[in-house]
Amino acid sequence: MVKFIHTADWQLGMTRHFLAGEAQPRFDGARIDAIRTIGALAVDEGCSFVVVCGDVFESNQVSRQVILRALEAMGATPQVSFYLLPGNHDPLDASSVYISPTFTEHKADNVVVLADSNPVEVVSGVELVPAPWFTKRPLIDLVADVCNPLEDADAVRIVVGHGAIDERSPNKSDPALISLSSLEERIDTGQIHYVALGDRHSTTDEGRTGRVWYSGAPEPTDYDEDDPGNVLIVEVDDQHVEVMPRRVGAWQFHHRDWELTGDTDLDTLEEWLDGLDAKDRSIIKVAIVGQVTLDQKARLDRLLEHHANLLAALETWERRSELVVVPDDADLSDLGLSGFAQEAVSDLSDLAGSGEQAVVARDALALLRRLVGAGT
Amino acid sequence: MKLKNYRGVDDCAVEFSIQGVTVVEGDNEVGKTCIPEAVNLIFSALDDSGKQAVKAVRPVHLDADPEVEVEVTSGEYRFTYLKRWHRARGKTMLEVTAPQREQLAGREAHERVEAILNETLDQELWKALIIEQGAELNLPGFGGSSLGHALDQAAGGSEVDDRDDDIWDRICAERLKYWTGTGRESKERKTLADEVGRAQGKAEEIKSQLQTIEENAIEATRLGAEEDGLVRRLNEAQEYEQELSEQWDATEGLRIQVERLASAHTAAQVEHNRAASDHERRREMVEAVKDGREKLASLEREMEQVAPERARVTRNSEEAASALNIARKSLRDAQNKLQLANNDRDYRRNQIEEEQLLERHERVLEAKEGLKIAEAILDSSKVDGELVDQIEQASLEATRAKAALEASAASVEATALSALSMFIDGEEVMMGADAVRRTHITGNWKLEIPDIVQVRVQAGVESQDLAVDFQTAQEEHARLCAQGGVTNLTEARQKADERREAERTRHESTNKIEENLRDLTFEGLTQKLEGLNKRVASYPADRPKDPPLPGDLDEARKIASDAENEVAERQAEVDRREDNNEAATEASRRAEVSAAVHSENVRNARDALEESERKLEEARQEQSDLEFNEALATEQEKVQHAAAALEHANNELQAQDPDTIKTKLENARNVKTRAEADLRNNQDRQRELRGKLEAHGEAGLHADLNDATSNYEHLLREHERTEARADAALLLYRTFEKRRQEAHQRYVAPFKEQIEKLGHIVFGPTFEIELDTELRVARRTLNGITIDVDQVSIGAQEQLGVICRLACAAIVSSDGGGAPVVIDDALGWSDPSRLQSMGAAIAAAGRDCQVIVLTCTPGRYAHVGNATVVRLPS
Repeated sequence: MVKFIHTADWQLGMTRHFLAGEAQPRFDGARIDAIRTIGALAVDEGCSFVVVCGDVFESNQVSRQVILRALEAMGATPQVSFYLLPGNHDPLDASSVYISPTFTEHKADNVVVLADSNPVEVVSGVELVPAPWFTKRPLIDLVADVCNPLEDADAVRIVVGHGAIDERSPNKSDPALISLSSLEERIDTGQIHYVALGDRHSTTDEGRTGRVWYSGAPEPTDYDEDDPGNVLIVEVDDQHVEVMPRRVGAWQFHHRDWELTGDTDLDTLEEWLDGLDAKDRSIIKVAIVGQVTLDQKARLDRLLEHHANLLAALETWERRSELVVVPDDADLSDLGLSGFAQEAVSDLSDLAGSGEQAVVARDALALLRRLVGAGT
Repeated sequence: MKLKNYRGVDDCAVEFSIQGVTVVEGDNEVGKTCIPEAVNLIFSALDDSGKQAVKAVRPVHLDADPEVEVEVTSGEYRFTYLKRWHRARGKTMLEVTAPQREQLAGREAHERVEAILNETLDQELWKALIIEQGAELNLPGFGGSSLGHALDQAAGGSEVDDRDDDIWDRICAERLKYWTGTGRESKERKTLADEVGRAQGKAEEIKSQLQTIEENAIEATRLGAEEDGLVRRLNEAQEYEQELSEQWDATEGLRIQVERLASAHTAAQVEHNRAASDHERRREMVEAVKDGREKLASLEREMEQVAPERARVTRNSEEAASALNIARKSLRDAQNKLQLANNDRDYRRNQIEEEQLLERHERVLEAKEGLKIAEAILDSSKVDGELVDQIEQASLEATRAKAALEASAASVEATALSALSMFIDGEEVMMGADAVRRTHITGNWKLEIPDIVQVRVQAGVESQDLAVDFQTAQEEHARLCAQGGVTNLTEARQKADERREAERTRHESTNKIEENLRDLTFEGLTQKLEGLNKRVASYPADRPKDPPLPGDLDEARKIASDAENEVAERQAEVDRREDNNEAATEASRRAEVSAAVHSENVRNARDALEESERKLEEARQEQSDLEFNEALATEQEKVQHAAAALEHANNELQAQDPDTIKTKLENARNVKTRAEADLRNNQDRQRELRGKLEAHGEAGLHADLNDATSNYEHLLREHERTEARADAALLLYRTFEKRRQEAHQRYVAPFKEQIEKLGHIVFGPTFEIELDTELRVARRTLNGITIDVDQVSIGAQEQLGVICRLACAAIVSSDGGGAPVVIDDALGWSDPSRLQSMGAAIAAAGRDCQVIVLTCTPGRYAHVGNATVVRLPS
């Protein structure tokens, strides 16, 4: 029985365009912290090693700072070996980060790059069968390719791979898809005992054997991830396997569609935003549709502005948002205008109803409201 | 208002009508002008103020503090306000009576009044409605005042309050954030758009760099994979080349043997060729003898066959020659006959021509004689038609001069009573008895009878002049006659006629000579005639007697013609005979040539045969035909042996396929060279790519791209938001501006109407004005003529200024707000009639508002009918 940590998709050096100001450095820092957390967890859990199944780095062209900080974080627990598999983001090609002077000069002894497909005995009786990426667009099932030469196992064999499995990918014609059934046949015959996969950022148990897993990313990277922020503590031998997800991520992504038709909906939105945990590490995207008055729009703007300051990022999903601002009588009377100004407001209200200038007219009314407000 | 110790005013109280016109009259220096100043001062200066404005109002004639007290109605407030200025003892008192009673003093009172005024007073309008004495003439504008409120209400529109104006200002300010005053994109927006472009460019550039890196990495990977294959290919090429080199070396011995056998075969071939050549030559010699014999026999047969034909051709030729000779002789006879006939004909023709020439010769001689005489006359004659005319003219002139002289000269008539001798002008004249001698005296005339009398007569001066003229005419006449060699006109005319006759004779003689000489000279004609004479004379003796000479030219011509025909016939016969003879001669010649050729051929054939037979015999003596045959057979056998050996060796070599080996070897060497080059190129390119990738690898381009992309997207969103705000600001501005303009147009109308209403009183019913956006009078129309207001007279401008203020105050006051117009001695530029109508206008306005007139010339406002007059004490 061997116990190790299965993780993947650290994607160090990733930047997010919606993170402005200090949020991006904190986001970067959290990913480095996650490495230390993983090392510490390995120590705590008595794991023999950590295997990182691809995409350790966001790109081969990351900065020296990212490389050095990652190596430093892995070096923090020298008793734990980190086996790094090149993935599609950081393939072991001529521009690979793993052959860069910075990496090779500062790599700690406990950091091992799985640079070829030769099985590696990590501890006695346990060997890793790595399927590293040498290019961003391989034309074969790399995992199957490294498994094909295998003969019957006389050790616990852990296949370390990266990429999408065929049963999950919508693009069935991709020649690099990993054949799940093929892996399961080898598991059934005892040729291999566990398949540690990377690429999918959500923690996922694939297939029927309980021995094929995506660990997911230790920190979330996008809104569409189901269960990110975990690593897997794996105990396995030829008879037994136990996979235990452990949460290490500190950040969260949320996206939600909202339909606003009145103050009640705004109340609900406000409550939801207020109720978010760890706001400074939360990245939120909202799609807003519906119809509101000038007053409600002003309230929505204030609400979003307020939470944009609290949250790491608050995005409005422009593509999926369509909020119509239609001034009502109260809006217009609240402006307290008279004379020609009142007539102009009436003109703008007409324009705001429909037509080419409707959006601009609504903006103009909102602007007017702001200007009126500025005078009170 | 009460003033105390204010400038030169010791104590004065004035009460103004709340509505209507109050005329404050006073002499200069009594303080009427202080009234508006004091109102401003009491509201603005604290009682302890040290301002120059306060110091200025202190009286100079006594040590007292200036004091002002006013009772004011402003908006809903009514209050009494007193202020006395002194640095230490200043005093301020306020008593508000409406809407609520208040009583304040000191600074509190001042501030309260300020607050009341801020709340209720339109400061700008207040200032605009005051016409200060001596101030510059200018027409007020009311664009920024509360006139708009009143006008809007007067126009029946909704109320426009300060708030609307404030919003409008903010809208304008908001628009100017995004648009320039002329409606173009603001600098900030342009800058932002440029930043978006630059950010996009930067992101694209980094993306391009990353793309290049990725392509380089892919290429490097591909090259790495290819390198192994290239190494394998090079090794295989080297091995293959080695193998082929060994095979090539193995074929070398065989190739040398083949070359040696080929040389031996070539040598045998040469010997064989030589023997074959000798054999052939012998065969040719034998054949030559045989051919010579056959040829000789053949030629001899031919000679015999052509002999009869040759004899016949020779006979024909001889007959033809004989016939030709006969025909030629006949032709010569006919030709001689023709020659004689032609000579006879020519003789007869010469006879006729001789006669004709003789006649022509005689005519020429005759003409030449006439010509000679005529030319002699012409040479001697000097008188022509022109000279005759001149002589005739000169004769007439002399006759006229003589007649004139005789007519004017004295006439002396002497009658001899007896015969006597006397001398006239020295010449002795004998006169018989009764003889009369008459003389015209044209000069000096002297008659002398010797020893008896001497008479001298001298003509008068006129006669002398006429005598000179006569003398001159005579001399001219004599000169011309002398020129022509004549003595008088008659002779001259005769000479001239002779000359004309000689000229005609010369012309006719010349023509006659030319006609008879034709193309000959006279000498030629003479020679030709002499020649003919000789020929005609000698011919009958020279010709044969037979046949006889023809009788005349016609007969001679006929005989010559017949002889010509005969010659032609004989000539045709000769031509035909010549053709026959020529054909026969040619046939004979050809037969002769043919016979000669045949004889020569036979002789040559015989000689050649003898030569061939001799050579063959000599050669056979040297080497027999049999020996030649044996030598040739021996050489043939040697060649066959050498060829067989060569073929055997060649077959052995070809079995090794050396060409293929050579081709393969050369190709293998090229393949190896190519493989080396490909491998070298591959490795060079890999080194190059690795260098590039190492150079870029740690530059953090990925993060740079993310930063650049984020920056671009941030900027893009900001740009989009800015553009949306700009559009919104513009639409807001335009919508408001449109409505504001409409409102402006609405409330301009009542103001215009009010001004024109008062203006009609002053300027008449055709008076109209146009207002600008600041509610200032821009143009005035009178009697249909419109001009800019700054072009009207100063007086009219001043009157318009007063009317505008009155109209404004009337409108504003109708709102209940009240607005006093203060006129400080204005209308100084107005004539009496205009002052009269202005008085009526002021009175009319006074029905709607408060008008205060301050004047030191009461008469100027005497026409304000309903005015309350306050007289300030002197």
